Amino acid sequence: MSIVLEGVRKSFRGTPVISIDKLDIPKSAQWIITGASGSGKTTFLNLVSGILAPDAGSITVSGTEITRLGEADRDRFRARSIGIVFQTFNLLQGFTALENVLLGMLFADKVDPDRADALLDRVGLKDKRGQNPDTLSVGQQQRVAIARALANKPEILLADEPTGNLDPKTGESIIGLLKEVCRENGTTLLCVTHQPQVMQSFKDVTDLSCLSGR
Amino acid sequence: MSLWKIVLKNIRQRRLSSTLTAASIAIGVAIVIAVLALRAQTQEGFRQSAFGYELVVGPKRLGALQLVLNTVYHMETSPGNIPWSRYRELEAHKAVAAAVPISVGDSFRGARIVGTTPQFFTAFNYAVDGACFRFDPDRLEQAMAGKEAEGAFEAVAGARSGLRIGDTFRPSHGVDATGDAHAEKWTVVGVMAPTGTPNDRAIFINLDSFYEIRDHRQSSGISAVIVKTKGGSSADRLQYDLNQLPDVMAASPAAVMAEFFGKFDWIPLLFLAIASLVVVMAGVSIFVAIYNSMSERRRPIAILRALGARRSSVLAIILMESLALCAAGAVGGLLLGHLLTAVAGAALSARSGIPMSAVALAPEEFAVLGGVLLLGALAGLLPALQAYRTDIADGLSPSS
Repeated sequence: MSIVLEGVRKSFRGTPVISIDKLDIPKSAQWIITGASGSGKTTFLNLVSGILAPDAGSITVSGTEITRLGEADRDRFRARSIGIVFQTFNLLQGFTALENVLLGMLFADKVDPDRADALLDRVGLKDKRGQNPDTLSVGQQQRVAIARALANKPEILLADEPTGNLDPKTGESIIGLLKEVCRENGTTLLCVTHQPQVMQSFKDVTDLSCLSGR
Repeated sequence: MSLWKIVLKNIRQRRLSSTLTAASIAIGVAIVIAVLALRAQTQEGFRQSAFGYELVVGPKRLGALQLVLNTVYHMETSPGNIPWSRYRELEAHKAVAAAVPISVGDSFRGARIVGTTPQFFTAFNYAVDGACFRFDPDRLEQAMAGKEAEGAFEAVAGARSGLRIGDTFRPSHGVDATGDAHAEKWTVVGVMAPTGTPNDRAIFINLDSFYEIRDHRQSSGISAVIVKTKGGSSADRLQYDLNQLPDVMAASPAAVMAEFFGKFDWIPLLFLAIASLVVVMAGVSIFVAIYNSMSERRRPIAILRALGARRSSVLAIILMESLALCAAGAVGGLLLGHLLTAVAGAALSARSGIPMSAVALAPEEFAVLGGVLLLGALAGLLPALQAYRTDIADGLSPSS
């Protein structure tokens, strides 16, 4: 699924954060999005996922201009086509690992416990399916988050500082896992990071600061 | 995984406050249900029991209420008699279809002994639907003959008198069975089918045999006469005429009980108002509990939205949580209310003879359940709107 951004502008309280004249991300690409603090890395992911709407410009995902969609349609688009991995994992407490993965399927209307089990198996956590997130290590929590992000068979996986809370070794394995599962599924991977060791493991690195002319 | 599962998880995570709020709803609902059921059944029970008796005629010094309670409901002591001649006059009165004498004053294990004639069982319908007393007519004839059989008189027992055919008993003086037992002994030869009236807790003996009891003399008169008129305006006229006499008074049981309940209807209404207040306060506590938790729910809601949940879905989750708490409280209250009805009804029934059902559903109960669900929707509305307005990006930011 290709992503095309044209003339995209986003400001917060009058301060320009994103200014992208043209950006074309090919299908199944694995890109690092980096930039200085405040360069709009998270905002960029929020725009691509439809969480935020730009002030101007268009974002087209596989021929569908999501910037023309209403909020409910953007929600549906996100539920069906986007997977998100956060720096702080954002797993729901009180829900088991398996239930957290099932939550990733709920709003796409394709709840499939067998697939959720298989995903947990894929990230190496089959025996942890019944455990609550607070009983897992941070690395295991991020693996559950990756399984959840893949639950709806997304065409785009957005990872926002996925190794920010992990030690270097665990971070390396998480990045390896992310790249692997995205390659297996033909999923486009956009990974926001400012960690050099993460950037080194990707061929394509886009600096948002440069892109926005700052 | 479904929205309901998320709701149940949310409730389980706040187990203590969820349980307390649902319990407070349940208590309020239970009181409302019990008051409604007892009020409806008491009024209906007294109305049904009063139905068959058009007029009761008793001594002047009784108040109308005491006369009715004594004659129809077998409550209170019998404070006096009317002359036998008054019964004869009534029997012969052109407006009267049937006049049945009754004499009371004794009891057995709390069951009132009623001395009367066989006409008592045939002249009146005991219920609005026209039901008559039912049991074997041969037994009735036998019992009402009042004959002495093997040294014992014969009696017909009400369905809830605790007596069975073949049982023998000695009546005691008074209504609470604490008086001295008379020497005469009766044998139960018939048991009436249940009527759902205080007569179920009475024991009927022939009036003649009643006067065989030492200290009971026909010359001292009878406790009351139950009158059935020939219809039209004759009942009103007869009642008026009787009330002009110096020694007797006549009362319509239905009118007396309607006036009685009219006077005291504020008591159940007060209970209802207090219970409703409890329910409303419980609704407010649900609102406060959910509203106060909204700041800590901001991130989970934002996560759900990031996973693709629509605004309407997160609104529904909060509303469903509030509704689920109210529904649990309402169902619990319904069960508890009927349990209360069973306990209080048994006590009331024991005193009045009016049967109470703990399983009968009053139509108002459905309105109560509807009202509680509406309360749940209202209590959850404001927090739900907060959830609806949650900004995903703000909710996911590290400071949230």
